[in-house]
Amino acid sequence: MFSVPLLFGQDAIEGSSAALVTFGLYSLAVFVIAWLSHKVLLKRKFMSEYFLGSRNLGLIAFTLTFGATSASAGSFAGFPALIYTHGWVLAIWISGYTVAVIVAMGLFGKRINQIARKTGAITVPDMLRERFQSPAVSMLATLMIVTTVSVYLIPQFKIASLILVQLLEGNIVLVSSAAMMDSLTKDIGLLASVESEYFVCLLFFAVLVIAYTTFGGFRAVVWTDVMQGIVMFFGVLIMLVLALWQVGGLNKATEKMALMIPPKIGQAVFVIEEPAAEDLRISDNAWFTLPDENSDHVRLFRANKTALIAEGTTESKAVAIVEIITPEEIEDILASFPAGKPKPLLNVPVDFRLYKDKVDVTAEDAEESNELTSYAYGAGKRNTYISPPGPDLTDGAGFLPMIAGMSFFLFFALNGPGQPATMVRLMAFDKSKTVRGGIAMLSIYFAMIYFPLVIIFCCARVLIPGADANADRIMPLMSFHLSQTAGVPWLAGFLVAAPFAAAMSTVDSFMLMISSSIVRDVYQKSIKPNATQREVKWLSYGCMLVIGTIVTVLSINPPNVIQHVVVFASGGLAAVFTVPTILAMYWRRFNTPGMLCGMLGGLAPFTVLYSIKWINDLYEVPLIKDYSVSLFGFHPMFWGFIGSGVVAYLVTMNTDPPPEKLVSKFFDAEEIEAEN
Amino acid sequence: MNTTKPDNPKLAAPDPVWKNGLREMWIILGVCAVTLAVVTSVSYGLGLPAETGELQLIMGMPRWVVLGVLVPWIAATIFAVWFGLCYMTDDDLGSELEEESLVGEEGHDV
Repeated sequence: MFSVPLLFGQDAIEGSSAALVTFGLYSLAVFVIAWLSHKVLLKRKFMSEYFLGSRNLGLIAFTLTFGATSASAGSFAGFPALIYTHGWVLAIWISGYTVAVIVAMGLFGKRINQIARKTGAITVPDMLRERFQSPAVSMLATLMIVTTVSVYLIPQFKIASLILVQLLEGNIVLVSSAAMMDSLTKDIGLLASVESEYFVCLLFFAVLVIAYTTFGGFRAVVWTDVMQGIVMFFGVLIMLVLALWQVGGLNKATEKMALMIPPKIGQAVFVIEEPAAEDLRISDNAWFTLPDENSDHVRLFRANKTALIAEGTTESKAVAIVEIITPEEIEDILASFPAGKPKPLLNVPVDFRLYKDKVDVTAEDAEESNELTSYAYGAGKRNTYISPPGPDLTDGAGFLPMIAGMSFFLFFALNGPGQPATMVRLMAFDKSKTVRGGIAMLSIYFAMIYFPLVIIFCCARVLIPGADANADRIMPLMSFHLSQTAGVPWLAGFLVAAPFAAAMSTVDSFMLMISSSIVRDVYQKSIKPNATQREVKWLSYGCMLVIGTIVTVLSINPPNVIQHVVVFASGGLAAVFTVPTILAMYWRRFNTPGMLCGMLGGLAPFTVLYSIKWINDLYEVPLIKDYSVSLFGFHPMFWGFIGSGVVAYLVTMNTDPPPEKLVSKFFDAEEIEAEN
Repeated sequence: MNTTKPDNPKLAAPDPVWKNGLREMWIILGVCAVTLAVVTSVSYGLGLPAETGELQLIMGMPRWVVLGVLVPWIAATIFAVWFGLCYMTDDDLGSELEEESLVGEEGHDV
């Protein structure tokens, strides 16, 4: 155990009342929009209005809802976390977005809209059922959507809650609610280990998003998406300007990144001598130091999660920490604190124990050690943050070797068309001129969001060092840092609204999609075809509530790196839907067995490759101990594409062709009346 | 709906949305392949190896980022604008089926 000779107090990164007001206004606007949408809903037919906005989206609404739904918490929190952790190589990782819009909208935008109109389809399974005249296709599609999309929602809930935690940090309402929650949940196994602030914010977000989505339906989702799309656009641009200004120019930032040596990661348990008279908290932004046994320098650490020493106890749980390794960085950080005036972390003396293991290992299982974990690729090296493949904590080949770079290009370029939320929007625009304009407008929009994000969060490495062990919160941290340093704290409310909007716009769209799949494709089509609109309406509301509740429960203990979950879920949807849907749109000979087997043919390799990884993670099988989820460097989605394409072709060619009348309906200018 | 019964169904005029969409799809996939080749070859060609490379910046960014990602991104965006506004055909997507045929009982509207 080490006694703490020098402790620096918490950073100035914390919520402010001004930011809270700005953010409150934003949330209020969301509710106003939901209320207005509900007014429109009352005047129109429930199903097509609630789930598809009556298929009359114009250019602005279509483009921004498409963009806002595509840009999830992954884009605005997971992606920044990866940039922060791995550096400039993320420019290659995201480069598939160069063509993502033209692929997502242009590949079959007009065709899917046309087929949905011809069949009156409201959901994707609905459209597939009519295209093949097969309930089995619809049911399989529904099953895929409900399961996979539910997983996709978890990281959205997590990041929105983390943003709220940051925004409300120190706020009396949050502190007292958290204390009350602590006392209510301390004996409940699932909740006992959850940070109460996070849990309170999770509940708030869940109520907010479930309420307005349920109340307003698709139109509320689209209108809020438009507002959220605008917020995201200006939020990113303002962050870009502030980041470049505060870092002293991009040249300076990149030169500093070139000098950086990847940090070490581990955990620490904070200990006091006497049992605490009250709950003691050590902030998740606190710095502390230790003399280096091998030199005259000090070792510099940063806590990445809040450490709580509960009343009556003497030590905290293990919390993630980062040790800064680059000498120049250590010098800069120490110089940024008032010289000779270190602020103690607590009013009582504090000791700590270091653990080598990375995050998510309990102190009981972790290895106590003076040395923390080094990066598998990049340890001790400079220049790794400015060159491919980029540093990596666990993979000795680096974060993004060339094949992985190609794989992720294909991933982002091609996964758009396979997302049911994308397809629903393509079914909802009013005329082909809208999708043409949308391709142009959204291509510019994405270029002005995604590439600047790489620049902003490369600057974040310089401005906010030592947040590597909990990098998912870098977006809110950066928002607060930039606005407070610029002297405009209210701006933080607007800046954090951008990632919050991204999470919210994805959650509302996806919840609506799950609900519509269940209500339309299961209940109305298979259980009770003559259901009244009133029944359908209340079932839709109920579904929304149940889905929201389930996802909230699943988000109580979310995975650590949200971008991995986002990639898993969107990759799974793309593996199942992309190739079969393209074939359904363009291949006359494609039939029901081909569609069913094509979807399963995409699912199988995707599931197998991920399952091997999970088994390996759980049981550490020696034969596959170095297995990564990407076979030969290519993401499972890629193998899903190949699997679904090959299986769909072979099955189709070896089974009966579809009825000519059905084919003619979708592929001929004038429908024939064939006998078969 | 107006229907016809040609002697040979295969001779029926193809749906223009299908025909145009198919042509546009091949162009999009071609552009996708070209962009992939340019991005990966230029980025990894200029970006590696990290240890020996001298730091070369353009507008504050590593040279490989500008030439391997930013320039292709700008080019692809210009292409997408041209493709959407000038090349893609404006097709009639047809009219909407009425919801009455999709929902059972009448008279229970909200």
